Amino acid sequence: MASEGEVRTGVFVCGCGQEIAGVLDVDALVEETSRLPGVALARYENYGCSKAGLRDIGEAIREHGLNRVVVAGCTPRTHEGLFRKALGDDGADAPLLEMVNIREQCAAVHRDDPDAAKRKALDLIRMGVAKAALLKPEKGVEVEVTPAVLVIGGGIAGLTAALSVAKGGLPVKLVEKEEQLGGQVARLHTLYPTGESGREFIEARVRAVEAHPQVEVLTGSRVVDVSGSPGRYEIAVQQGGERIQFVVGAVVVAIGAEEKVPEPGSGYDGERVITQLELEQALEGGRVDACNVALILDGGGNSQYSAATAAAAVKNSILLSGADEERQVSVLFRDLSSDLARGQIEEARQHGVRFVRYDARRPPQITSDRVEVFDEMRNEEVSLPGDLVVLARPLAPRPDAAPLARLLRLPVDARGFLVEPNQRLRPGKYIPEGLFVCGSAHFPVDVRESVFQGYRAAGRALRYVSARRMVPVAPPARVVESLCIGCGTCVEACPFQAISMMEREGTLGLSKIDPVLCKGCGNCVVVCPAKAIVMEPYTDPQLIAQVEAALGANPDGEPRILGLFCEWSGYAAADLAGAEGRSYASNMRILRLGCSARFDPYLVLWAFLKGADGVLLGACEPGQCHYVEGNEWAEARVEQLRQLLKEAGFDPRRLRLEWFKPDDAEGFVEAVNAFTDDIEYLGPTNIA
Amino acid sequence: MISLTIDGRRIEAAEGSTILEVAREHGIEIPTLCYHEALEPYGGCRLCVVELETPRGPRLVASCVYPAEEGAVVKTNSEMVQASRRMTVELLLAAAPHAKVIQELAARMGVKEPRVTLGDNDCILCGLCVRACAEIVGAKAISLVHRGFSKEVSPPFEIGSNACIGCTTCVFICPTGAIKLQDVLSTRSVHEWTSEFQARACKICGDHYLAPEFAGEAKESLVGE
Repeated sequence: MASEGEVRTGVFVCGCGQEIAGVLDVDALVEETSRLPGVALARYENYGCSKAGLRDIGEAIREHGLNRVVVAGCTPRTHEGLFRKALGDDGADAPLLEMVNIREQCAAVHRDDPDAAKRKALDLIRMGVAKAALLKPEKGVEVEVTPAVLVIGGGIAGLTAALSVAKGGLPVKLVEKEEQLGGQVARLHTLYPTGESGREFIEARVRAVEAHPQVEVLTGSRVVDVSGSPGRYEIAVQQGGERIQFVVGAVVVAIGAEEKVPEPGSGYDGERVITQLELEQALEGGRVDACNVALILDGGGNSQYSAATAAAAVKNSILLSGADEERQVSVLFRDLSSDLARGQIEEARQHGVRFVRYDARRPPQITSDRVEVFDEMRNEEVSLPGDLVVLARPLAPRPDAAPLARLLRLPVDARGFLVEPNQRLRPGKYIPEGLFVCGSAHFPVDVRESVFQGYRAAGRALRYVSARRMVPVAPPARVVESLCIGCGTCVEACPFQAISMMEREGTLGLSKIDPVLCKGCGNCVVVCPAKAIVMEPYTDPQLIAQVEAALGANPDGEPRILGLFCEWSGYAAADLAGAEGRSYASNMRILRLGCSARFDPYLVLWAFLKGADGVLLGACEPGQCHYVEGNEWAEARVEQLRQLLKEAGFDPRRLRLEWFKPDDAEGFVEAVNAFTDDIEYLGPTNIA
Repeated sequence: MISLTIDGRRIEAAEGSTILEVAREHGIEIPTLCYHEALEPYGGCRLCVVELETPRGPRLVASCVYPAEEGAVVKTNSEMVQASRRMTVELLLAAAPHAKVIQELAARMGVKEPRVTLGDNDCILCGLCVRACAEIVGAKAISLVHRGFSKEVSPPFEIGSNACIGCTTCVFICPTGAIKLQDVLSTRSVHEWTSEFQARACKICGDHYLAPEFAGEAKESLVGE
């Protein structure tokens, strides 16, 4: 019945008992909806989501040959999956679904003004129908995950992770660059708070790892090449003169950190002034005979502070003063955490250890036989005898961290540690999938924390690999090859390092997006100067159609406001406001986006040209973006666009970016009302 | 199609529907708390009980999980049903006196002061958040742990869940507003879902500063950046 390519949309307006039908005149909505272009059927459903409702929708699809379904009812955040399943989400010819939120974002919040609510609902439905007509089927990309894990680094974190993965039943390759396993812990005299010997502690673990049949240990070797994509990493390891190649599904990075030799000028000489690791080794060899020891907790010229180093220094001060009653031990500190060395500071004090707090701007001066320091607590200069001075500095990243990070496409921070993006939202999980980092590779941690992180990384890796196959959640962005001009702007803009440039014959390169690494933030779509990148279901034509539908009718003369909201912040907050029944101004038409990175200045300008009186953009708070940095891009774009609008003689107050918390409905309502008031004050733009 | 009688009305229904679904389809209102259309029914809150006629006399069943059967005779608002619902609401009110949705239900059913007090926790253990996290989001970041009075919603091992993707579906779906994003996101070293941290007051200025339990996390995030 439907000819090829013809759009036949079925619109189902839900009553949701009295939730929607009690506020909106659903029959009138159905009536007006049925006149929209492309709509083959508009119908009222009491409960579209009930078994009977879903069956009705299914029958209507067959009967009327529908290839688009628009459900106007509740929020897609809870019900989209339900409807998708009912439409047959696995079938190739299943109709495409678009949901229009007239419950949480309309009926529930405009109970006191049914007329305005009806106008808004109709606009929202119009937007949904316009978008549905332009939807294209999405294909998820499926990847087979290789059931093997590579652990890089044979220190405490790596050993823990390797053993834990092997016990989980998967083959593990453990790559260590030294000839022996054990890492830094093997060089420690004692561990706090148990007082065990570092070597004994680690040897038990090394033996367990070496004895495990599932673990293959490659010592004296380095990872030299990583290719492939998540789920199937092809690894090349150089062991002596030999190159070993294998394939793994997940990689655990546990390269740890190291103690750097202090720079000249710090007083370090390796004999009287030594580092904390040298002190550990001296203690191990029983070579400490100095009477006056000063331990200086020092960031090494900048404001770093490591709780692990501090706790180790406190432990060493107890050991030193406990071994010899006559010995004078001082700990010079700027910050001292009582958290890791719980109770140990007290114990150190009882042993007569002197704690001196110094000012960061006046660091201790090491002279030929003393340490001069300004005691901040007593407000006086102190001169301590120093037969032995220990510089306890935080661990620093290894020099091979940067090349490895490049191989694995992991980001590094300013100091060179591997960064964990979005630590708050997904601790322990890295954005490039199947890569997990543990131990001091991200920041200096102590043995306990390394063990914990080793288990955590192993758990994540096991879970990831044993899923066997995975489908990327977000439909990825795709490059239209004929339009790509090879400028490489998208490569820089991708927060996930998913884009690379390929060679192309006779012309500039061609951008290629890894469908597995791509998370669908849409940043590349916005930055592409040739508009060569498309991303479903937020393509330019779809968004423009929605904007035009939202601004198409203006019978009431009220200000027309467009809300472009990221689904994790503004959209979620709007839903919550609906669930809590908080009402707000009804002028706004909300358009849902995957991430604020998709805020396209062109789209905003188009909205103003089409008669919008104000555009409110809603993004996650700084540091909370689900796509790492989408909100920062959005902020920069809005700033520039406001400048541009100002120069063009257009009031920049009509464009605003708000940070929304998804669990703060009250804040949302306040922000929307305030913006609406401002726009009412500014009046209409009279552009369209 | 099967037919049954609800509140004296003969009703045609699709086979496999529950009594609650059939009643709602026909505009017969049954109160619920733990029911959500997008989730598998749970039968936890017992607010949706209805009276079902059986050969051995009337019986109360949870309509959200009980299938609509051929020839069944159901009463949704009989004395027996009302008494049961009032008791349920009274107990809920005793356990969560400040939850708005419970107060409204109580007012509607004429429950005034509960005869007992069972603490003051907005969480009524309906499990909507747990089920939404598993069924809609697929993250399974939280679950119901312990039994009886100590039952609560918690991430595994009560250490902030790293499976949580921060989507706030649980916040949205919670009928009493007992969940905030912060509860779900907090990491191991900070939050244990229900624990309360006492911020210490500075001895000199009297201002409150970071609780010691938070120090680890704050430091971690500072060092990590």
